[in-house]
Amino acid sequence: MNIQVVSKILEANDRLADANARKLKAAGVYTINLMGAPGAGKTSVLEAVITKLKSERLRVGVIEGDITGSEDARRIDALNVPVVQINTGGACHLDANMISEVLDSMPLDSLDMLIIENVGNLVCPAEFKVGEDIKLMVLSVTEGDDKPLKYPLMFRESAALIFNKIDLLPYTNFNMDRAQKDAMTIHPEIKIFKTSCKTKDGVEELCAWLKGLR
Amino acid sequence: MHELYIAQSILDSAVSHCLESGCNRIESVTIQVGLASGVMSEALNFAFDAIKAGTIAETASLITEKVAPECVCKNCAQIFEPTDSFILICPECQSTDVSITKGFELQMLCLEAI
Ligand SMILES: [Zn+2]
Repeated sequence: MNIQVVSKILEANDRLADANARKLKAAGVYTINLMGAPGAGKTSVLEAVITKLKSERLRVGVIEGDITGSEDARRIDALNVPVVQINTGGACHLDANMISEVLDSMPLDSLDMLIIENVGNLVCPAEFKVGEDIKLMVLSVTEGDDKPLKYPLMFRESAALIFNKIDLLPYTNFNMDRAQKDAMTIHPEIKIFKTSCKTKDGVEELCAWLKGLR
Repeated sequence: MHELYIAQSILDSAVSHCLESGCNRIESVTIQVGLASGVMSEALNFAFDAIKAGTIAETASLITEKVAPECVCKNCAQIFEPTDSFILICPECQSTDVSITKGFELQMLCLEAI
C-alpha cells in the first residue's frame, strides 16, 4: 500500500528543540545559536561580546560545541562565565538532543542569555534547531564573498550576519557590496554587522542589538 | 556528514508510519530534497543503505525527488530558475530584487509498504 506522510524529515529533532526552547524560556533565558565556518572567528566574537555584555551586567552562559577538544571552552572560561563543552565525537553539528543533555548542568535561573557556539561548518548546523530563539552567523572576510550563494541555507536561517575580521579587508579581494547584496537576496530581513575583534570595531553595535533582543 | 543523522530520521519515521498502517515491510521511501538544502542525495543514499540492514526497510529503496531552486522577481513577478552559479537576475526585466522560493525542501512524501 501507498502511505502518504508528507512531514519534515527532522521532525524528531524539532520536537526536542521545542522542548529545550520551552525550558529556556521558562527560566527567562534568551538563546542564540552561533554558527560559521572553522576559523571564521566565532570564539573571538564571543569573547568580545561577552566582555562587553558582562560590563553591562548581562549574565551570559555558553555552550561550546566542537568535534573534539576543549580549547574554545577554556578561552570562554577565562572570562569567568558559566561554560559547558560538548564534544560531538565526529558529528559536524550540534543537535537538540546534545543540548538537552547539558542544559541541566547550566545555571539557567541565573542567566539572561545563553550562546551556543556550534561546530565550525557552513552546511550542517543550519538544518538542526537546538532550541534557540535566533541563529546568528559569522563570516570572515578572508573566506571569500561567494559564500552566500554557495551556502544559501545558513544565510536564510540566520537572523543576523556578522562580517568579521574587517580589519583585514584591505588585504583581501572580498567584495563587501556583493556579499551583502547576495546575503540580502537570500534573506531580505537579515541584519548585518561588521566587526573586527582585533580593533573592536562594530562590537558595540552588535552588543546593543543583542541586548535589545531580550 | 549530517546525512547519516538525516538518513536515521528518515528510517525511524518510515518504520513508525509503516507499523502504524498495519504493514510490516517497507519497499520504498520517497523524499523531497531541495538542491539548496545542503543535503547531498548521494551521501544520503549511501547512509540509508548502510543503516537499513536488519530493519523492516532492509530491501527498501530511497527515492529522492530533487527540487531545483526557483526565484520570483519582486519587480515584475516573473518566475525563473537561477543559473548554476546561482546568479539571481530576472531574465525578464534584469532586476536583482528577487527572492528564492524553492530549493530548501527537506521532507518525506510517502512510502510503499506491504
Ligand atoms: Zn523581473
